[in-house]
Amino acid sequence: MHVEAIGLSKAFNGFYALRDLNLRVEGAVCFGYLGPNGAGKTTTLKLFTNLLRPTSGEARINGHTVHAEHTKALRDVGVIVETPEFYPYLTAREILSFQCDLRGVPRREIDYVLERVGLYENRDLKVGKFSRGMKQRLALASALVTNPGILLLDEPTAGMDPMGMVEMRRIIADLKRENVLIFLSSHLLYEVTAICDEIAIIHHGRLLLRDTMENVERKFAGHVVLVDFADDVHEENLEDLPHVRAVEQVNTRRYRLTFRGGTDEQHALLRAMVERGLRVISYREDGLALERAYMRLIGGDERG
Amino acid sequence: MNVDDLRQMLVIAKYSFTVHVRSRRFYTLLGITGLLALATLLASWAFMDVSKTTALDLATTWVAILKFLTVLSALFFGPQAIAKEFQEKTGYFLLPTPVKREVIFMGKYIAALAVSLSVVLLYWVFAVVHMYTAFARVPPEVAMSVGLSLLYTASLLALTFFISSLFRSGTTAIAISAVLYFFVLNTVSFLLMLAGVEPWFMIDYVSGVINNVLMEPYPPHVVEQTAGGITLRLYYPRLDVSVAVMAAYIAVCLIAGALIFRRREMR
Repeated sequence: MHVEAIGLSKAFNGFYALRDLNLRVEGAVCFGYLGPNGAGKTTTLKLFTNLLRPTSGEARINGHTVHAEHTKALRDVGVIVETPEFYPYLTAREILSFQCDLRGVPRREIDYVLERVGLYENRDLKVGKFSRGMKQRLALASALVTNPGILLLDEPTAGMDPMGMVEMRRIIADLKRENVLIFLSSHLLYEVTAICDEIAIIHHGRLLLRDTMENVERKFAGHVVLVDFADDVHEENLEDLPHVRAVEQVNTRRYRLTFRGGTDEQHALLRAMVERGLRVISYREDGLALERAYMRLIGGDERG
Repeated sequence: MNVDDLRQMLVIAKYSFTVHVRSRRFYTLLGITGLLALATLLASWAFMDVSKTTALDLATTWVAILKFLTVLSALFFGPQAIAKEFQEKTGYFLLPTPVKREVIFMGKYIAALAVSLSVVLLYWVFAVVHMYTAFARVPPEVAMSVGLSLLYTASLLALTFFISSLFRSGTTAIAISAVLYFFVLNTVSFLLMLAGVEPWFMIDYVSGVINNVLMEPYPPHVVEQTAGGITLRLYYPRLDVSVAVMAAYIAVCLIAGALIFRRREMR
């Protein structure tokens, strides 16, 4: 299973929302598609789901051109694009039955999926009474209920409360173990870092970076660590540690240390603190590698 | 169109029909239908002398309001059917599925048609019961009139679906359809008649056959009336031409609407 963009472009009245995208995502991976608002993420998803026609190039799914043969291309694809609305007079269960019946698949997964997204209790409630977060959960249920091999998810946590966002991430993380290709569009870097194996960053309709999360974390490793101590610590006790360039006190038990070098030096710094008798209870890189990559590539040019 | 397309079309029709019959709009139209039937009943009791009236006369009275009801049903279930998918974003659920757009279009049309026909038939039930109660018989011409009214409902709804496919806003589609049906079509037909041209291609004109088949004999195609030195030609739609025109409206509007819908983007 794969999704592929070949020279894919989309212009609206001469303005290119997406320009010459070449991208292939293959196999059971979780692929994070990142970019600020207006970067072209949703446009890409809409091209992959036949909601838009390409100005040039091709969007392909499992070898089928979406625009020319979308019934074949979308057969094994579950989709969330933006925050969809549903027919207000149908219940959650009927919405999922509708999805199953359209695709000609059995309805046996409906109750399980409703339970999975936390809507089982509301299964017979008309969707017109749903909150935005509940509709987003229903959208995920609708994408999952036919057991697709490919999931195209556009900002799936949009409109959700913090609990909903955590649950959504957990569901997506579980799906990674189910041999599903997940194409996840988001501008939430923490979300992508937490669940994606590969990422792409897009800006002004152009692809700026495509790599594995592992490579991104290596290439964009930081030189700042956040250290928590069990006891109060004086700043002077930290300034002469090996490789340290700067010490910033967050509070008497938490410091932000900037150091020179890479992984070895980072490890040496920790060891030196422990050897000095400082009771370190937490030692972690400050900020996300993905955030640094994002800021370096998009930086102050970000609009959203 | 293959077997899978047909299956999907029926699925869409089934769920769209469910949405229609659970909507406030449907119950409002049922209420209006009841009120119209009641008004016709009261008017016939108040103004018709049963001893001097035939069953066909009574049927004609019922048909007088039927066209209004047909237009209402088309306005209630047609204009938003396609446009609303874009305006209210339900298209994000329905369109990214492995279903052809024309299949979606036709499924929605079948659902809207079923619910519109049920309203029109309900009105006819009231009419037939009244005729039978008053005259202990229902003239066979009524069956023809019922058939033509159903054909008219289908053709008007097809035209409304075509209009719906042109707009992204259901509200705009309703407004345009209402203005068209209540003002533009009859004005154009009237002006064409004044100019001596038979508006045989106008859907409101051909709908006259629903009433005309209840007349004995069927009125002549052209009647010339002279008043104040001016001769006016009054046209009565021919049955065969009218049926063909209504069928053509269904075919052309559905094909054109489906083609437009197929090309429409969800921006």
